[in-house]
Amino acid sequence: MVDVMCCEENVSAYLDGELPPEEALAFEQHLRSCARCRESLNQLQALSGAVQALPRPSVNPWLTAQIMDRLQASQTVSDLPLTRLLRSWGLLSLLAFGALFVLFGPVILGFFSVVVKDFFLLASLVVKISRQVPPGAVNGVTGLALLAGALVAFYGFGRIYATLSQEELIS
Amino acid sequence: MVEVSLIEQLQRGDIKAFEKLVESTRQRGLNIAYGILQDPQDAEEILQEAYLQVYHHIGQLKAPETFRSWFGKIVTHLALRRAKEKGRFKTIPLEDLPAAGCSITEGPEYFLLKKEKQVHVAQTLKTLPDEYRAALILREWEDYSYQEISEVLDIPLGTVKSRIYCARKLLSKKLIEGGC
Repeated sequence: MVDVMCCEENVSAYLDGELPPEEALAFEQHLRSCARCRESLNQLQALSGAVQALPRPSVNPWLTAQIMDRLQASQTVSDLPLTRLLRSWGLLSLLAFGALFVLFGPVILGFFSVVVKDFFLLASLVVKISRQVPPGAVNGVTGLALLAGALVAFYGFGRIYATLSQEELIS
Repeated sequence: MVEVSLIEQLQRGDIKAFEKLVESTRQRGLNIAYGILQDPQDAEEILQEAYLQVYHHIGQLKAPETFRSWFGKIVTHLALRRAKEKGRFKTIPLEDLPAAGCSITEGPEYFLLKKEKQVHVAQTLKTLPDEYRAALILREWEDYSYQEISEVLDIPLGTVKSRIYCARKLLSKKLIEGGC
């Protein structure tokens, strides 16, 4: 019958000095009478020595300077008033998206499903209608407002993605 | 401990303290990142990323004396994520590995450190699953305790013990199969 102490996991933990004191003492006593465990310990010691002796790269002497440069660059960008404004827009767009979704979630999902399903049909319809709209100041302003809205929405989604990515909630 | 006072200064916004902290911990960080990625360039990129995270999130570190495992955790997670993204090495999924219990049958002479054997050990280390290699590297290269490894890898203490043992077992098995 194999002794309960004859467990290689314990040999490995003993080698690392990670057995509790009483267990370590009992294991040392066991080692005196168990050639198999002594052999395992020798092998693991040799393997451990081999891994510890593996060469590792030296740190690039410019590493600290490079890190400090990157840090200063990121601070300069994040301290700009424009960046702060854009960041707050990101938060605002997240809040606006949340509110819209709570209020009109099913409608929005239905709309997107139609857009995805009949994308080409919708696109041709939009082109057709836009050709029939007479040129004029009101129509021009409406068109520009719609375009600006689309860009803001696109930017908002970008900010949401960037924020979630930064917090490692998505990759 | 030097690091503790540097961290306290850094938490008060002293950028010079950050520079000193980088100087005193960069080799440790590089060893961990390189041990996992086995690519010096990737390891350095990860290390830069890790230090930026250290700077931005240092306020979240409640106990400065736990910096060692906190920093190890940042580097390890970034390196494991990079390894996963690049799918660099063909590693065996953890569930496909043999259960603990099979013994190492060859003698210590198999692991004697000659130059060519050292290269072979390094090559074989690369083929271990990322999670196994990470645990082994933290232990063997940076002398992390099982408790610290448990905190770094977010796994229970018992899992650390078996993971390190399995990493050693698998490494020795592969070395023997490879004629080392």
